[in-house]
Amino acid sequence: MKLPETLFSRSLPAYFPFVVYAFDLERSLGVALLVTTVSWASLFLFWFTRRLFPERFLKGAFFLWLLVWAQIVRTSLGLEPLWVLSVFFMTPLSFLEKGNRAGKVRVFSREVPRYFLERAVTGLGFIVLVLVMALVREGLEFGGRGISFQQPAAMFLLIAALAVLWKNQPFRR
Amino acid sequence: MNIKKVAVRTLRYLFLIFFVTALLAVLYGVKRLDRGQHRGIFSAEGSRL
Repeated sequence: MKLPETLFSRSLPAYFPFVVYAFDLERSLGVALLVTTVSWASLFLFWFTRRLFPERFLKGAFFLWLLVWAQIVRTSLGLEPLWVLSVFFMTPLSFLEKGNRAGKVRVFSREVPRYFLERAVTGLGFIVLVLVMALVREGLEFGGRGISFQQPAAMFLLIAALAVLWKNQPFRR
Repeated sequence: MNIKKVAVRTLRYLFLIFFVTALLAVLYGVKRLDRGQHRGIFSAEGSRL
């Protein structure tokens, strides 16, 4: 089975704030867990309550929800709110629009567990991506010879390498 | 206008008001608890910079 490219394409922009955060392995993992948890919570909450909101304010409510989370975490943990961007990229907004395929799925239907499972796998994949990138960043901490993996450009190089590998992954039977 | 539609719309707006109020209340509560000391595990002294 080939891993679908959509999983990676969602995780990739979600990783970008981590390029700016200068965190070590544990803190990166902590932020990744936070992002995934809030993303899952957002999906869960808004999936089941989306019909309760006035349609035109649904997205506004979602953005307010994200802003409040950003402020809560900033006040309590001292984390600057860039991580909310990751949550924004991780959470599929398509179900908030009635015209989209996901938006047409009924709130309680047989498709919901499969939909949620896909999103859960995406979240776990994101944590693995952050872990791999942080490990590489830590592991390649060598100076000299004009190379530094501490700069964001190095992360982009790694992301490009990962994207190529993901795109050309061999089929498995 | 259909009375059912009006009722549903009113209930939806009431839910929106409830949602926004709840979020703002949580925000206010967290701000009250904070004593202005940003000593969280992610604060500046904890990072590499």
